[in-house]
Amino acid sequence: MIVAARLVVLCLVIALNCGFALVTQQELAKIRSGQSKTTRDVSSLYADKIVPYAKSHAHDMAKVQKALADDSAFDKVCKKYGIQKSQAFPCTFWVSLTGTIKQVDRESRAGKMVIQTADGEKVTVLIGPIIPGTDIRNGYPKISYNDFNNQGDFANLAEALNDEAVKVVKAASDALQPGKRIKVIGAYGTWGGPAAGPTEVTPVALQSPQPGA
Amino acid sequence: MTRDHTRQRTMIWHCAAMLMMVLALVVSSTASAADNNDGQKGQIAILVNSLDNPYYAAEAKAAKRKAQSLGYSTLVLSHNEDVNRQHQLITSVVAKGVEGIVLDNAGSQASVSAVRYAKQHGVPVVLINREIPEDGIAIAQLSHNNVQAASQVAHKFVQKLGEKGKYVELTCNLADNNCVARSKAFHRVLDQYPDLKMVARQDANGALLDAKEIMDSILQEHPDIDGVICGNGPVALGAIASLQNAGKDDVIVAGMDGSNEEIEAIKSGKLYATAMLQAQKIARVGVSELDKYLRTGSTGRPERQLFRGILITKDNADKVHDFSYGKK
Repeated sequence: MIVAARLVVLCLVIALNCGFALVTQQELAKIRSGQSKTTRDVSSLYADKIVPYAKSHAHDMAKVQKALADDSAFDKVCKKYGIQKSQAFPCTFWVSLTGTIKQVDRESRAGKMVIQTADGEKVTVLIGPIIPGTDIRNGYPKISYNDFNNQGDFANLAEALNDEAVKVVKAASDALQPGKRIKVIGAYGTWGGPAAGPTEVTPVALQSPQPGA
Repeated sequence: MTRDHTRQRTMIWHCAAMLMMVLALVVSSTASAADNNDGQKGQIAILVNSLDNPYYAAEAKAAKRKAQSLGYSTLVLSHNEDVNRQHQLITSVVAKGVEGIVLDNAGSQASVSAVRYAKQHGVPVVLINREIPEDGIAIAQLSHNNVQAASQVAHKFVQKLGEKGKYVELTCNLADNNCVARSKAFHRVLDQYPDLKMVARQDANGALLDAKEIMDSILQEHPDIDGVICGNGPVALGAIASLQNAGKDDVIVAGMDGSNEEIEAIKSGKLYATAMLQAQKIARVGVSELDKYLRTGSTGRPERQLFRGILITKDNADKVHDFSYGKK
């Protein structure tokens, strides 16, 4: 019952966020029988809500990194450029960066590519197929843990959103070659800037930059 | 009639014996754990699992300190994961007239009635570490994000193994929802790596000695394992003891909890990674919210609140002490 109730809440949250109609009894039955509509809902949530949110809230990566370099000001930097839902979640920055792909590592299933920006900084971008972390979920302020009250369901959402990011990476895979230029918009979650761990960006949008950009 | 009489008498004896036990417990606990220096705001009962386990001991100690600093006297009791004992203890502290209870409960579903009993008698309960499956009975349910913490440990573990090899999972105690959540989170990560094979999985009851014995016997059958992932700290330490005994120093072990013993094992390279659960912080916040509720009638916070587990490796092990994380 509780699981079912939480599923309903999950769907309600997603439906409300996407402007969808609430789930009908038939849809609920489908969800219960495991043929979940959730995947499609997460796709819409990702494409219609999160990507636009990320694009309109992204700060230049170099600017964020520069602000974070002074770690004593972390909370201030987080407030100014980032989103932190509660003390249980890292501060998440939506960032935008353009540069040249230096390295693409697909050996690991948690694949990565390294991008060198115009000012010479190297930034790691996660390219899957496994993306560790929950930065995309954590960076979207309209969904909180209390919409779920279930760690497993909340983790499922994060994973489904990461899978959407992996689809974006796959769609752009021809462009992901060393030497090519790329623009990345993504989420960077951290507990304290570069001192607190590696700087890794989970992408939500990838594009080849306009010539001269 | 005779049989009924006998049964009645037996029941009376049982009840009397139980009452005596509870009384004895309360009296002895009061003598040992209650602090009468302060307490102008009344008494708070702090109930946790076994105080022999460093995690629960850290919780109890931090809760006690915080309560005393806020002007309460405290009564620290342990239910040893026995739901009947938990019920008796809650009944007795309610009868004693405590202002509120901070509880790390003895079992998710079975604890609902005990918490409800306190609520019905006007004694608010804050749950720490373990949740119950019902809302609106406890005034707050503070838990660690076990799923997040276990996922981080699993990612670190799989990375160290080079995404391939044979591993063993020792769960902590599958009667405990937190242990179930951790195991599921481990597999959410590990099962995505096709070259990583789990060759054995057993429950080690959350305890060091059990884990050592189980690991001993698993090693008989699988001497060629590359890693062991464990549901809590004592189990990880038990696995390490067994591996050391067998001369297998190169097996990667990961755990969860972050006790001082685990931190020492990380520093010496025997344990590769763990997640530190914020026992002290969760206990302090629990007491603060109980205090706020007692003063204002509301905690001012959502009922269910999460706390993060902090991934610990050699890089940051020196920041951990007594389940608290900070700059050295």
